Amino acid sequence: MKDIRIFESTSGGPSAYEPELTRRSFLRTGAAAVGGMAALAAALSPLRELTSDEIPDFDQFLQKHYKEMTPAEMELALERIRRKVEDRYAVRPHLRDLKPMEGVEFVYALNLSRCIGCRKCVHACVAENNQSRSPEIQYIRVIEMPRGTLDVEKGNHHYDRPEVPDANHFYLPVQCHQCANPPCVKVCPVEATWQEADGITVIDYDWCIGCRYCEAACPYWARRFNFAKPNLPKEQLNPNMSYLSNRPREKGVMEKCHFCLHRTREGRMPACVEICPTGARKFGNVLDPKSEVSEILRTKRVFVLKEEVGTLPRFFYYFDERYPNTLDPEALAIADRLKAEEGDAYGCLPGAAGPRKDFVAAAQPEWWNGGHA
Amino acid sequence: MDRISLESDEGLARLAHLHRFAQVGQCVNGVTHDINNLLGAAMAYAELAALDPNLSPETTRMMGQIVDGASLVVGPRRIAMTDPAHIAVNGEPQNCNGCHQIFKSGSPAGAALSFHQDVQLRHGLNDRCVNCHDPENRERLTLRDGTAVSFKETAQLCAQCHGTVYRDWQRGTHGKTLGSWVTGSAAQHRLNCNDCHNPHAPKYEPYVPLPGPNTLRMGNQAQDEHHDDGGKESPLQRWLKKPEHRTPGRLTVEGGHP
Amino acid sequence: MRTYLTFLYRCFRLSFVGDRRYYAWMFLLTVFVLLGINAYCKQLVHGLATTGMTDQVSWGFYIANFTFLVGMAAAAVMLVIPVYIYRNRELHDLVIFGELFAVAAIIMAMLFVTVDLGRPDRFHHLLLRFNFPVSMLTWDVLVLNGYLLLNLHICGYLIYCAYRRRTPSKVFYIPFVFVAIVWAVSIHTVTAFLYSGLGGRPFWNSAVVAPRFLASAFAAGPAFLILSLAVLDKFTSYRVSAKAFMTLRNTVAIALSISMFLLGSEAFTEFYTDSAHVASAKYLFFGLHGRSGLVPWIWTAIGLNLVAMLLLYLPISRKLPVLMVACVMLIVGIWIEKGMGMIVPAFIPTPLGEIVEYLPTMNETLVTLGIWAGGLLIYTILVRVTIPVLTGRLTHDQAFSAASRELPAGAALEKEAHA
Repeated sequence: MKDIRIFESTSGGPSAYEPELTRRSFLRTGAAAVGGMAALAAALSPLRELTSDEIPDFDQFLQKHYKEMTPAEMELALERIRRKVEDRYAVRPHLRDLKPMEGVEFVYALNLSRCIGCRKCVHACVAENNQSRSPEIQYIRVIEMPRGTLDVEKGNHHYDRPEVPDANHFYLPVQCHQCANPPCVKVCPVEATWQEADGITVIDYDWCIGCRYCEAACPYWARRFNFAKPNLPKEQLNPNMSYLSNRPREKGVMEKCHFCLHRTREGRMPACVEICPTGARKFGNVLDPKSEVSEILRTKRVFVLKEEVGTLPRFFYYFDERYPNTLDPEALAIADRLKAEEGDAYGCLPGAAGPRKDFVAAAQPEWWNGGHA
Repeated sequence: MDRISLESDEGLARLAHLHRFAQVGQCVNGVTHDINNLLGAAMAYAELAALDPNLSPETTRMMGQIVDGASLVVGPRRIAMTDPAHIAVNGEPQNCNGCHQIFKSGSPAGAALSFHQDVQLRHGLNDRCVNCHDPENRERLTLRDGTAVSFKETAQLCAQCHGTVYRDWQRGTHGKTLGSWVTGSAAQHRLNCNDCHNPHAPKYEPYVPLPGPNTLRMGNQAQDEHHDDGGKESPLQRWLKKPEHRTPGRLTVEGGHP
Repeated sequence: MRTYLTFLYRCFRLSFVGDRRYYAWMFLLTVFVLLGINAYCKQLVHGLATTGMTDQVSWGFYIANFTFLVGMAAAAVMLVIPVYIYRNRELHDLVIFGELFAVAAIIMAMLFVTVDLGRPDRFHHLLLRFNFPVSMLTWDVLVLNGYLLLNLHICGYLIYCAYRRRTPSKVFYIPFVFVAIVWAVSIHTVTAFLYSGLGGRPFWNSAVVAPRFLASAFAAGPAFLILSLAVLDKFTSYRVSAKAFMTLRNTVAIALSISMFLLGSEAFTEFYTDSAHVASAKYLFFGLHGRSGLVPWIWTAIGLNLVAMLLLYLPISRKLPVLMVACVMLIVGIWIEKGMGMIVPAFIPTPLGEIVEYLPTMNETLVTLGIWAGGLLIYTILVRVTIPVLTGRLTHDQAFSAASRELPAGAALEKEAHA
């Protein structure tokens, strides 16, 4: 060590061997070190705002990947999550780990002829799946599409009409397509997302590292990231939850539609299907030949969105053959002929076949008070 | 009310008294009901007659007075008729024939004037009450071949015109299934036509859409629709812009039959 | 072993020694590093909401810089290949600086990925369930770490040999050099595959992405080395030959030309086809539906690159100041083209056709600056330590002060001491 004994004097020039310089430079070095540490401490100070709630505890830190947990370990993890939910939302959740059912592969079908773009599914989904209300996370996007195209770029996500549907548009709801060849699963570096036996692509929210590669890979823009701590009012929490679906998420992890697996793996319908006022949404087991979705695949001209990306979605769209009677020239001609021949066959006043509203308005005598005695 | 003791004669007497009152009540009810029906029919005819443009103003005013007078009595009942809970039990309408024995045929215009004011018939070409309602028995529906069907079997009735939709509904590809996706499960139930569609105006009413996406950090992202084709107009968009194509309904037919 | 520890200790001490400009430079970098750490702590607390990223544009500034820096790291081969394959003498002594920069650049690149993570506390999940070989990100983790180790080994070995006054044994570094050449190409190729393998993003889904990345990297990397060598030449006792600069200049000019050619090919294919896939490119170059946030950036980049290319082909850039100006223009140009111009537009419009623009926030920019400052700090220290060793002023049999007195810009320091 002889050769470095004088390193204290390194800041000096030729007179570096002088003892008082050594002391001075020592003080200088010390001051610099103290200043540096203080600056570092100041730089780190925002970390004090982290709440204990957000810092993963030891058990959570050591928690294994979903597929590696034994039933006992899973029960411990579930209990830990239940406690956390209870602390945060003051509700004891009905949390369990639901496994795929045997002989079931879920498929979704959506009838574009029937969708009216009311966005009820979007909000039912948010209520069911405990998404963050602010910043807002929604799994379903309804796109208002002009006629003559399936190019989503021509659509409008933010349509804000007083009334839907608009005659010159159709509505294209998009959510996770639960692809059979999912690019999001392929790209995940830590296997935090995978496809289950029933076809649902799930995420282990306790395993995701938040790199957002899956979000970049998804051709349907179905994945969402918790950019901030999810904000969900206590009274809006849905306590019916499962490990892989709608349990409350943490900041910095991905989430996405999971076909409401906490409902569907118990035989129930997803929330979006239940809320749909027009029956445009169809859900079921494609391995069951009697199921509605099997029937749709058999009898309807179904198609998938962006087939060219080769993801083999389990989400099918279709249009009905639909030619409203009122637009059928032949039917209208027959009706006109019948009216001319039979006249007011059922005791109607002349002219009653015209637009009813106009007739009533035109026929109202002055004394008519609108029908209220 | 005190408990009536059947052990005592007094108790039995009180019971008999009560029974008598009940009988009288029912009788009065029946009489007023019939008067009501008669008045209602008279009123409805007067209303229809008032619409005839050939009548003199004098007669029209008289008809108006008949309507006004009758409605003093019939009014409360008319209001009651628009209350579905009052006229239907388990989805089956009750006591329709009281009126309709007198007032057999029905025009939607007439119905809209006095009774059934909640009924707005907007069912396309199907614009006669008796197309679906049995002219002889208003508590039933009727198929085109005259077969009477109950109000619980509306699907068959709809199927007469909407064959393809009925086929889809039978297969489960149209309509709504609730409860469970498991085929044949007890929890599963399918909705009927008129669970979703108002039979008098089957086309869905327009909805007010729920709010669109607007995450906090994005601000209001509402934007104009952008469906230009890079400066070039697609043939379809050009077609849509011609107003005559966009007018729905009969104009299209006239275009087809010059 | 003890000698090696002494060597490391001396290197550590040496990094705290320098003249005023050295201290000023290091102080400045430290300030930015601390600002960056502060900003990152805020990001840790409040989440990635502190960045300008959204679900629509889910990768931004961080990944853009990551991509650029992987390229910079890979560019070290542009010095290694001439020396070890074509026996170019001029560049022989400079190879080490290229590799040292590769080390710094790789560290920066890895830091950028780390700050981009939503859950850095779960980093160990990478070790527990590594989705290799399916996920390209796992490939990236492997090749980047491998490249870092290779370069650390080569640099460390050569420097330590110089310190011990030994001739490096070829067995211990030549094979690694050749592995590193292939490896350098692989790191940037894998990074390109990260993007080009995504069918859902047509803007990236192009075979020309990897060649484009390599070409632009081989322009920007040596350009950065020209700048840093020019600084060394001016401020330290280390001398760089004019011929070395000219060799690098040729490399940069050719790589830049290839890069511009590939950019042109890409643009032609996109715009002449004029299919629906052109949307992102249209947004980048001309704006889409009235949104044109990236248009000024990309045309600045193209302008800078074209002027730089022109300068590099003209004899005027034989003069070092002109060459340096061209290099600065080119680095900025490629940084924009590859970062903001390559990563961000792929997200605009989204796969569902929504147009949400992206702009980095202040916090995000501070983190970015912090990482850049940290990387430059590392590079400065590495160079600071290497020069006395390579010039034979810090060896195992010499007292430490000898090296410290012969500081970079020693003349300036001595003047100061006399005053």
